[in-house]
Amino acid sequence: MTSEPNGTGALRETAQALDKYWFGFGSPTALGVFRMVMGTLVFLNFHLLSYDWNTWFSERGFVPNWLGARFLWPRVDVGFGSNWTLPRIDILSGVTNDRISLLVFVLTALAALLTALGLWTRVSSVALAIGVVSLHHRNAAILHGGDTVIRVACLYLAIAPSGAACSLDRLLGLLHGKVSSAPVLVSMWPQRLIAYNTALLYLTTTWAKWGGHLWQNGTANWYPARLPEFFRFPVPQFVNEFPMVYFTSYGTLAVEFSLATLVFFRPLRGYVLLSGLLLHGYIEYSMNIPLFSYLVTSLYISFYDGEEVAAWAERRGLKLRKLHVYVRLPKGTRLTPKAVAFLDSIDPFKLVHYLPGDEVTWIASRHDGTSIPVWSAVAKRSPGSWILGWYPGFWKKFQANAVEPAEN
Amino acid sequence: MPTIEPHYKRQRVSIWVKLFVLFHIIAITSWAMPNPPSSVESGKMSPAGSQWVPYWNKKYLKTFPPLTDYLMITGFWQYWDMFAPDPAQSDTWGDAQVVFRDGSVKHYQYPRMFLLPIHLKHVKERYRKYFERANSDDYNYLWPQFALRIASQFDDPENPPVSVKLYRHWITIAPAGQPQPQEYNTYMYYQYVVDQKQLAQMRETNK
Repeated sequence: MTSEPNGTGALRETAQALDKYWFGFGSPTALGVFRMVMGTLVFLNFHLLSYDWNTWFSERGFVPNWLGARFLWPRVDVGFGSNWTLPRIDILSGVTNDRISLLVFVLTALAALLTALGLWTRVSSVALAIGVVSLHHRNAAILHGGDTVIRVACLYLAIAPSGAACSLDRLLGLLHGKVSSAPVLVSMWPQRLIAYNTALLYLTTTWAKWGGHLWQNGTANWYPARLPEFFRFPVPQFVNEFPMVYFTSYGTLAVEFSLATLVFFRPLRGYVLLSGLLLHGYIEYSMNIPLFSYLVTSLYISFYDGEEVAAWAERRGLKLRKLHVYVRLPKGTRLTPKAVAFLDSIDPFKLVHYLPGDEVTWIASRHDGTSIPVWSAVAKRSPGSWILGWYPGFWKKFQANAVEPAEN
Repeated sequence: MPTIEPHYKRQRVSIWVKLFVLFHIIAITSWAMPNPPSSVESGKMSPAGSQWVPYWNKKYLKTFPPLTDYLMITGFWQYWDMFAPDPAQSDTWGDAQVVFRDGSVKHYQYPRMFLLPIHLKHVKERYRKYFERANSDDYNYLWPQFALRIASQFDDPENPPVSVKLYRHWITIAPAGQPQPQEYNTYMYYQYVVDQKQLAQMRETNK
């Protein structure tokens, strides 16, 4: 038996740990929650943009196609001394027909909605990424930091198995028996990339700020608070005066640096993310930077594993004891595996408990024993059903297929 | 209750995916890293201490075509320089004067966030961002179209606009302890003689 030199063993262990962190398998729940939140925010962003679509994307606007191409050249040099160029992803490149541009805008907004719902997720998330990148390349002159978050996040959603959880695809697949009712496990690398990119965001912004003398001398936050173009809601005067300005300026740097580094250290993760939420909450309240804080903080979900997100929801559900209901199945029946998986998927807080019954029909009772209509109780407590449940006859059809004879 | 085995989307991650992830991490990290100070970048000063990292990155990685092309083409390019290296220290807004063929003049107020009600501030914020660029000398090629669009909003075939004067107004925030300026500076940064042919084209497309 040969022994490994000490350094080699430690190196191998580190490599294995890194490999496990980046490419191990886990629950896609966090990715699914991130998809829902980001898809909704992107849709809202399109809603805000739609009011001035003519101004920003039509040939009659401030930035017709030729001018957008001058601001951001639609091709990139291959380099290495050659004259070859390659096109950027931009399905609007050279398009001067406003109807086509509007159609792309509307379809991309629709793709955002479908991505949020998790319906046809693979196609809708790819369409969303292509649409967002194209619109950003079409008119880059109006982009701000929040748009960069949107573009990068949409690209990650397109390459990730983002419809594997918290999606209509998953629920419909379970209902129709097209997906396995077993818990899904996916490789974590897309989610790890989102987390890494979030940390990179904070690392490079801290680094860039540290190159500015106002951040170094602690007076940086004196200025944005005095720019009327950014005013939103009022804050107490002392917040924008010294010594608070020193505290908020250096505090911003400390929080942002922590979000790039300490956030990966699990015992501190919650505190670091909470400080980030407070920082962005203050920015959102006091400054007019639409959706930016929501977009950035939605990335924080990627620092949690899917199992942690699911466990958090269950813990919250346990505390909502008064909302718990007990559904008793018809006598001599049990839920089919398909129904178990479906009901489990739509009820992340685990507020509904299914028990064997003694009656010929389904009955439900609250935690205090009072009776309650079955499907209304289930639907209200199961966020996953809030879209499907409105479909006429949905619960009736589900009820008919959800149980099978119980084996004695 | 029987235990249900988890369902793996795929059993293992291919080496190509791992190589892609590594390449992607290098590309975005290199691109997002701040540039060295301009004095170092221009060669007037040698990099010192931690400046070597951005200097080396700019020289060898950030300009390496496979990395930059990948980011530029796919849309993964990214900068995170909000309020950096220093936050903006001046408040700027714009307006214009539109002169008509009969010599009359109308004022155009480009959307100014400070004057807008709360519910419109979010909707119109893109105007502020665009003006940040459209009033800058670095982007003076944006000015003619900017003025033409304003002219088209005042278009009257009987008495069309003949020129548009673009103004910027700004105030520079003084450091703490110094008296804050109260009055905005005003400067006409561009006068556009309206291209009547282009205006007529816009008139047609607006119908």
